[in-house]
Amino acid sequence: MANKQQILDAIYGAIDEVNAAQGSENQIAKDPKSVLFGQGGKLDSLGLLTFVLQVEQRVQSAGHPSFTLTDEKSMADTPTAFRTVDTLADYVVGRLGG
Amino acid sequence: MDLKTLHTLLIADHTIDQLGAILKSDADAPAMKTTVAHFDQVQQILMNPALSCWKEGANAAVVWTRPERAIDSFRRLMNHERVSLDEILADVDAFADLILRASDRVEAMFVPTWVLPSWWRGTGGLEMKQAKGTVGVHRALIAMNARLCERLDNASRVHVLDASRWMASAGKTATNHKLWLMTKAMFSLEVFKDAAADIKAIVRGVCGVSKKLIVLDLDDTLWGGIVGENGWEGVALGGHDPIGESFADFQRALKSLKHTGIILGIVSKNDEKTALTAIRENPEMVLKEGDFAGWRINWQDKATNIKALVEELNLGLDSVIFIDDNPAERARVKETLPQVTVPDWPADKMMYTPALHALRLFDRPSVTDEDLGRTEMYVAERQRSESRVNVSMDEWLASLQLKITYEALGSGNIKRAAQLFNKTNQMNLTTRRMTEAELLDWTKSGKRAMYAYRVADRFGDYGLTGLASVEVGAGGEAIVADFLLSCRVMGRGVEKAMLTTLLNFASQMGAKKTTAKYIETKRNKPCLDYFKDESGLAKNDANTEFWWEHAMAFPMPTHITLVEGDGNAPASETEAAHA
Repeated sequence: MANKQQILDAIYGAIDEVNAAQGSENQIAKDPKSVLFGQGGKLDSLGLLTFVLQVEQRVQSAGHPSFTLTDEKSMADTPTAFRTVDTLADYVVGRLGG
Repeated sequence: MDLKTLHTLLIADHTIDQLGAILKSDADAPAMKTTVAHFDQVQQILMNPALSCWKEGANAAVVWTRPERAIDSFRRLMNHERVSLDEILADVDAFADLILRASDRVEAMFVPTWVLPSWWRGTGGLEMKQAKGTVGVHRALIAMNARLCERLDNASRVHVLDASRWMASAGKTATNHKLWLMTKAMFSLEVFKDAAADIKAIVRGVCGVSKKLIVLDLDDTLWGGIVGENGWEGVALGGHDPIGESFADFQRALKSLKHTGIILGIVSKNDEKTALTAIRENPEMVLKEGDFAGWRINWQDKATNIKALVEELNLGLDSVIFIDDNPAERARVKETLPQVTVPDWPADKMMYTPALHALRLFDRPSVTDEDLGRTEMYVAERQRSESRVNVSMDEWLASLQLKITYEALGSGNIKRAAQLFNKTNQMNLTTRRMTEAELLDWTKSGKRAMYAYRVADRFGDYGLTGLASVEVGAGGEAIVADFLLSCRVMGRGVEKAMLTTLLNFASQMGAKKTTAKYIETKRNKPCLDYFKDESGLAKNDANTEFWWEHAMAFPMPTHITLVEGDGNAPASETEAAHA
């Protein structure tokens, strides 16, 4: 069972990681409302994939079962899941059966 | 190389954009502009100087390849085809030649060593074997990297970087196979961050702004506990307890830095006699008294003491780092001397050595003989100062038995000459900055001379400490292009001996007059003071031009022996000739 705060912590860890390559004007705030993808988002396609894979790794490192966010189902069928930090956290919790 | 205008071209057979982004956004100096060359066109880009990516003003390049892509025989080996190590190394030689040819197009080229993905295990136990005309993949990779380093060793512009350390530091997350499949990014951001930090550290070293002096506290920094309270017998150092061992370990790490030319000093609030007794008497001390170029051990403010010690050692505050276990002392020094680097220091004493290793402050492109003997030079300088008591200046100068060897630039002195050329600020007439290759290029004209000066006296050898050049124009007037001297030997008549050699060359080339034009910087007033007050040259009212008419002989100081040396002789032989 996934706890949303644990998932948010994993997402924030991934934000710290990708911010190193974002430049000062494109830093992503560690905030549930931060936009990740779509209008107002600060990640390019490479950045988004790097970020999503970081989230996968961190969630699994926190002891959750192996899962993928980069399959077609996740990325194409549910693009709204990647809209903000909050929507992504909810989506991951849902995928993990939280 | 100029720290302000670094533009780096990134050439790779994997997605490297994120390294570019980190190099650009990282706050550590130097600021960088980056350009990413076309993906996976490494050989073509290295071979063809006419490609547009070379024409966008880049003065540095990173060439980062995957071994199986750069070396085709290695790719076949990874597929378990029978490939000999000789064939693989021949391919490595060819790749190294490409690097060498392309390195002429930039001032610095960075080449990370070849690594395999962290998950790649190959054939396990066979990986390190060589038998039946073929070789294990990991064993071949080790040989390939060693061969690459060997082939690039003498290329002063090429810097091979150890990518395996970045991989080890990032651990399992160094590579992500999904990331590779989806984006062709071979490495994680963690690896790129380490790579960017190492690249910047080397650039700082190339530009001569790496740190030279580590100022150390004593109690709870070099040993555990308070020596004034416990005596040297009661401090934690060495022995069989982890804390004592950690301090001995830290001292060993410092001593190894000293062996590469980093200077060590002490600033400690202590009774000097007690502290020096501890250093001299404690058999567990790894660092001995002679390992320290100087110290200020008293009850005064540490910032004031650091400033005094740095002045004594003729260094700039910006070349200093201060290590102290006490956060209040660190804060005080940080606030009072902002030029001094004061790293946060771990509260856990057992983490001192890793903390020292994590500082990327001591990188240099090469280590010269002068670097290696630097502390000994300071010890000799202390003896010189002591010899100066109660004698006149002239008597003291005569007693030094100064010998100056001047030599044209060549393979034996170019490394040290370039290092001196690019880091000397105070006694520097024009403060030009040039790479080794540019310096050698400049001297190719027969109308120009550039000399390196080695200075020695009865107390020891200062090594190569001066550089000066002159260019003779068509109208019979010669111009001093460079005139720079290490602070360590200023004020002993060395400057006049240098002028003598320049004027002699200019005379031989038919010059009637030689002029030195002073270009002011924030830090070269000592040079102006010398030319204005002590050089004996004529000067204009603005004190910007100084000249000598060759009709008169220039007075060479009588207390100096001036001899001509060979700039192509190996540095160690030249040093030995001075002994």
